[in-house]
Amino acid sequence: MTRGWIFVAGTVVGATAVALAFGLLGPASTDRDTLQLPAEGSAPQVAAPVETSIVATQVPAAVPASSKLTDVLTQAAPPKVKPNPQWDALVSGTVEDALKPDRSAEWDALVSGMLEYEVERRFGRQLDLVQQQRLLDALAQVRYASLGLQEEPGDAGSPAALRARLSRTLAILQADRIFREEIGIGVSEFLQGLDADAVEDVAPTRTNR
Amino acid sequence: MRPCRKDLRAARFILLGLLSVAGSASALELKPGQSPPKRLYSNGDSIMRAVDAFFPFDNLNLSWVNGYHGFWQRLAHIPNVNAHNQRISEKFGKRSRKNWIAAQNGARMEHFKDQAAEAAGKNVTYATVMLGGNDVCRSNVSDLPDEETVGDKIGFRDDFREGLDELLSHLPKGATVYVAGIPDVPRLYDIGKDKELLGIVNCPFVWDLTKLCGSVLSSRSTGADREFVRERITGMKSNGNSSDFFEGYNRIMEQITMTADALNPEKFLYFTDASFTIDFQLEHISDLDCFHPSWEGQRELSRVTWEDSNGPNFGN
Repeated sequence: MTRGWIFVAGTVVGATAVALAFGLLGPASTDRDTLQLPAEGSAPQVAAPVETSIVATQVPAAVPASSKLTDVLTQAAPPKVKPNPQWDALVSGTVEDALKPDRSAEWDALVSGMLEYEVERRFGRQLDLVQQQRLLDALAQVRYASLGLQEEPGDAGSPAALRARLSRTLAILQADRIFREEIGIGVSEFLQGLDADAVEDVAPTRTNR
Repeated sequence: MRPCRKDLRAARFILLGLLSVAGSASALELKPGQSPPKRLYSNGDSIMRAVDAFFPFDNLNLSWVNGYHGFWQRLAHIPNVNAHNQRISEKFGKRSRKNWIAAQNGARMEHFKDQAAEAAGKNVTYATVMLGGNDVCRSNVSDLPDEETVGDKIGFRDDFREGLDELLSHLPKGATVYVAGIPDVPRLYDIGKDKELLGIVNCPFVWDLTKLCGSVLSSRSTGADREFVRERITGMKSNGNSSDFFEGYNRIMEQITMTADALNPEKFLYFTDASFTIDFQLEHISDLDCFHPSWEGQRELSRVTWEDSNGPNFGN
């Protein structure tokens, strides 16, 4: 009996130790920032609208980069970001709506906010409405084309399948060109900047190819 | 005071309990002394940087080693290659993860040492190496590097050995190094010759235009040239016999890796040929340049190297 208890106790202690070692037991509550960038595979948290806060009406409801955004929210002077009526749609909608394949008001609002925030953060300038719409449409184009490219073609070698692949690939290239024209970097590099911690480039020198 | 028999028995049972739990944790598919591969570092060339895999130029999120698929990639429905980086997070958790890429576009084996030097001070626990593709992709076959150092001209063997030594000097005990062989570049010709870039022009036209990998892909290169390049990579003739003249770049890397493994019992080194034997298909070639792996190719490369029984086998 005593042996049995000791074994059970050892098992419990062991399970706890292993769980702690591998991060299975997290703190009861986290100190995540309200607008923290989501971890891979999860949706970002969207802040509840704060009616009385000037910051809440001027910062996109869901934008990336936790610590930077925390800085933005807590600094004395609000950032110079133009109010965007679409943010209201985002706040009232859900992030899952934005992730659905069909383009939606939620998707537009989320991506508009991200574009506006990231371009200002990265390049210190604001997009005009035409530029913003162009970039937004380009990303929507990427989204549709990419979805199509990832579909299993019925007959990959058929003329129809080849035509579809061609048009989708061209759409991706066109979207990338628009990004380079408007902000000087391609879509891939732009999106990489939103996930700064995802990969750190330490290549001794950089070349194009 | 000596512990009594009862105390020793109790301690033994506690230890057994601990071991039974530890043994059942899936995260522990590691060899004794091997560290979890949470601090990832890649050495390589444009394949590692997933050049032209989806968008033009670098696509680090689609790299077979360093790739990731975060919220913004999901939002834009950008493909997911399920890279080693992602598999590590899935298997070992996201806490304390690091993901460095030292690969450079156009890098050859002679650049390995410089890339490896950047690992200093990072406490890297898992380093991958895939270099040599640009060593066999020269203007013509006569430009391929010698295996051995001749005079001032450093050979492939010494370039790799120096790079690996440099890398190992910066890795802590328990670290894993995974070296992948040079891909079967001549096979790229075999499957790509019938491919059309964007459905407009065929790949041989693009290869001539871009002058990428002339030793294998140029219209001037012959079947014999391609066989020669394959022989240089594998050390085998097309009839399956050993080459009379060449040990083969991949065999050299394998041999040095295994020797280094034996000399460094507290580190874990592996070599795989899966990057050579991978069954590349038409869709695995970039639609943008007819040369680099597409995102589908990157995904396949990640899968075969991760699952290869000669690799670290961190678990599926």
